[in-house]
Amino acid sequence: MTEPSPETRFKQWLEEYGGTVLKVARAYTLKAEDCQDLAQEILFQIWRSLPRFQGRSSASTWVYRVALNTALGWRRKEGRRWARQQPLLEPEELPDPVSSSSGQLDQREVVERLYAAIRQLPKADAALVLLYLDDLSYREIAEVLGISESNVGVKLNRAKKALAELMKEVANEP
Amino acid sequence: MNPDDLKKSWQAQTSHARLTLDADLLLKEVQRNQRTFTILIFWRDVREVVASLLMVPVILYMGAKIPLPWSWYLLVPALLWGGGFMAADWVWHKRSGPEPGQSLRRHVESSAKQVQHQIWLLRNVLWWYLLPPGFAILAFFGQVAWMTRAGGLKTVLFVAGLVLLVAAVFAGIYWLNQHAVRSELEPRYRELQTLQAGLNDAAEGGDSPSNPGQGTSKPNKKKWLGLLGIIGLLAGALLLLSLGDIAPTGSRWLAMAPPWIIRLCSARLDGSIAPSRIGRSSLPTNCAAHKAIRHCFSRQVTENCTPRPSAAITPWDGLSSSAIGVAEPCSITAATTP
Repeated sequence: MTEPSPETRFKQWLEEYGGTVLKVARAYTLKAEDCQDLAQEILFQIWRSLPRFQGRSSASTWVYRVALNTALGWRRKEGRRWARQQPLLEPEELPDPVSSSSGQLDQREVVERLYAAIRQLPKADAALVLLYLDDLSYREIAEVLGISESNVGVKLNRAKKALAELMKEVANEP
Repeated sequence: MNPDDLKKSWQAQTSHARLTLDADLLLKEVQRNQRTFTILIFWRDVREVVASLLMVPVILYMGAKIPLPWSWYLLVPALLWGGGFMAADWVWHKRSGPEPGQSLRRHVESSAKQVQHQIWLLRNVLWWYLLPPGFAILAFFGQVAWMTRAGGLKTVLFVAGLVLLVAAVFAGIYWLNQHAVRSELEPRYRELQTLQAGLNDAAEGGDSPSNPGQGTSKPNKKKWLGLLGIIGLLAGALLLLSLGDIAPTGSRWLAMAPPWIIRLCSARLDGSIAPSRIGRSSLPTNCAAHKAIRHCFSRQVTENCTPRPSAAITPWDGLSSSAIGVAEPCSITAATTP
């Protein structure tokens, strides 16, 4: 089977992991415009990293790595590169046909609180929690972060406790 | 709410939100950005090396065009050293930079190493970037001061002013670099160390981030004292020279003056051009030439000079400073001045 061209692979990844990029960007920024800038920067870094992708790790692991590495090193002034451009991606809210509107509101509120709590976590813990919430296995988390699986377990337990505490605090805030 | 419920809500957001994007447009934009980015990074990395290397022919040209003392050429090795150091460092450390697809831990480690190296470079900017050209400039000023010591206190003050100006510029560059270390690199390094500590094994997790090159984070007073000492020595030497009555050597300027000045001077000594024919406005602006002309005319006007025979002076063509006797262009026959 022939390797897809970088352009084709990039488009495939956009389709599959666009949501992941957005979630990481949202977790590491406060403002909507910063979130867009960071998401575009992550996509740019994914494009840059494509020639080095050799398929030894899964595409999702690769995308998470690039996204987290970019988000952790990102500074607002770096977003200026994208600031003058028309936003190329826009998060869009979709109606959920299954759950009731009150259920949707509840879930959205929970998600908002989750983002608020994640932003208060130390950056490494935030990365761990993001991967956990996206349902990655311990092995995948270990691959993305570059730590042992047992270490993932220990750290995740701590991070979950911290997250629960922060969720309570966020819920109590007016 | 238990963690599994949180997970459910989190994953449900994917079905509530999606990215609206034009993949082709985004791809084009990303590719365009990649080109801009590559050019930007290339020029950021090479601009100082290129600037240093471009200065070398300028220095050589100026040295040839305006006869300047030999110490002027010390700037050439100084610039080559600075440019070479930056180029070598760039080539050496380019390979060890972080890659976007590395695991988070490795990425943080390589970023921390890179930042630590940047801190080291900027903290030591005095030694590898500022001092070599600084010494060359000081040597040049020192030599010029020595050659113009007949000018007395005014010359001393002028040269001292130049030295202080250069020192102020260099101090400004040094301060800017240290400011960048304090305001950007050190916080970034601490942040990376915190991240590293967060990703370390549980047993190592409690390590507190240390300061890069701890103990040297405060500006090194010795460096400043060293620099001030050099400036002080030079200023002191200039002052001593101005106080001591060492033989007036305005004629030394003739050794540095361009050939046309030497021709003009020899013609004047020869008597073929009257002093009145050379107005103030016709005096060249070049410092060395100006001094040479002043020396040439003042010696003949204020002292009872007997110009050397024209044959010995060999005016106009093929003159060298020794041919017209720049060391002593005219012999004094009477000590009295009119």
